Amino acid sequence: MLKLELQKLFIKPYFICSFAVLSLWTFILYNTFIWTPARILQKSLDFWGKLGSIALCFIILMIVTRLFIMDVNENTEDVFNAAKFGKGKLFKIRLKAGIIFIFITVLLFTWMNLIISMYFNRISQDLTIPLSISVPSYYLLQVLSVIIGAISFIICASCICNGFKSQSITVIICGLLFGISYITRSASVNKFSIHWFLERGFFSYMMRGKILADSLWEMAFWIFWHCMISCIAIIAGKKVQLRRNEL
Amino acid sequence: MNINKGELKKLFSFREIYIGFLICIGVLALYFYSVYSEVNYGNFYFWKSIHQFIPQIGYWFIAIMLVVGLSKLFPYEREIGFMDLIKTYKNGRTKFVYYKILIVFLYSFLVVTLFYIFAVIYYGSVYTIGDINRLMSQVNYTNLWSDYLVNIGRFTQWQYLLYEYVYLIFAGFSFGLFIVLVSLLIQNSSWVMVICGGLFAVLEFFDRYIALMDLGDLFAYAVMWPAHYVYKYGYNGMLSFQYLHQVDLPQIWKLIVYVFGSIAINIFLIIIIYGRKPKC
Repeated sequence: MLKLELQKLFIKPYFICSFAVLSLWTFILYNTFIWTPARILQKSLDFWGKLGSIALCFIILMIVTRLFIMDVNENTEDVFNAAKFGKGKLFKIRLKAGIIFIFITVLLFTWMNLIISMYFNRISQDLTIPLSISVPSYYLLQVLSVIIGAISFIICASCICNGFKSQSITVIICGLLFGISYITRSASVNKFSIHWFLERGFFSYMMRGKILADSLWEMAFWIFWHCMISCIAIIAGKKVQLRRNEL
Repeated sequence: MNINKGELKKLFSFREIYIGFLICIGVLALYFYSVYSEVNYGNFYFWKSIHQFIPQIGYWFIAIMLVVGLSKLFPYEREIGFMDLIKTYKNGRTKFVYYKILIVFLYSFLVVTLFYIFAVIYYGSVYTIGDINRLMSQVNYTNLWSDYLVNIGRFTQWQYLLYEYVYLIFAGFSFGLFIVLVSLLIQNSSWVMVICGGLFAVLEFFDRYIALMDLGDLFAYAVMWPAHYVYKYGYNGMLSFQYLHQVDLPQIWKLIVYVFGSIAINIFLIIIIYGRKPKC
């Protein structure tokens, strides 16, 4: 059943989107290679900053959440509602399929980014990274942050989609909250202000491959906050389903 | 029930509008909070803020509300399996499309009015209102905004506000028709939302952030230059008054031709695409 759900995710728009993103990124890296070749690796570290994270958000909102309202779109909802444990089990399998799918996507983008940047990289590079660790460790940390952010975002989006039974409402809520991080300018952000909170509090900061916290306490706070959002989404989704007599 | 009232009721039954509106109001409150100043500068700053509100940030909210509300307007019947019934109306399809266009206009009017009301209430509570009959040329806006509002000194404050307001209703109407046009081609509200909203956001993103980055000359000329013109003469520019302030009264016909021309083209294309489908 998991395989079947995964097959539903690997559809034409996914391949088109991935191809378009990687082509655009190749074009950008090619231009960097022509005009400022000393910045190729620095540029490749910036992949998740804008293009990668936006593509990931698009894939989650348009392809993964589509899985959760497939029954409504194909008028087979009543069949699943009638099945004993059918609804809950199906939701879990779909969530699992979504997480595996996004994990594969992140790995694909990471490998492609590495291959393209290594292909263009002809000279030794001077890199400036925010933390005092080696470049491969920073790169791995970035990918880990993207994976954690994307998985939390999928959990939240799928619960909203399951609760409202509407993909467009999910796109509005998750898309607008995701976009706030790009609008808020980090240079003008003070710690513990509302802007700071909005910039980092809705998964997108993690999906942009940025390190969420400077200290351990801050990290603990953000882990608590993101777990809390996910739990609220799961509980609210279940409550709505119970009210509709679906569970 | 009158078909017009029915369509209006249908529009306001979309949950997306209310959710989008709540999020927009939240972000708008945040914006007001971040620009809030306790010092009362007097009525000059009230008018300055009101005139600047839409070109600075207000047009984002108007665009979001238009995309959120109108992307479901045409695909709704198809999504709930209602299309066959529409085909059974006498002159139904023709009447139907005209009423939908009217709904787009009413919605645009409502959204623009709502955001102006919010701006007036907020800035009215922070600054003092007055001097509405003073000519704009006398308050010397040019020193503050460089060339902004340089040619419109013959307007008084309230006249310019009215001019902006009416212009924005028609600009919003044009953008709404564009969303309807895309929705006729795609017939899936989520995709329409992502395509129209994404196009608007990407152009904003290009113009505000990427254009400032050092991306190399080829990329700058190959992508940035056309993107800038699409931004300026597209819906981003139209809603953010990119050329409104450059138009003097004797040249106002250019603006009218531009806005009404885009409306006419959109309506023409909507009718062609809608009429292309088989009729009963």
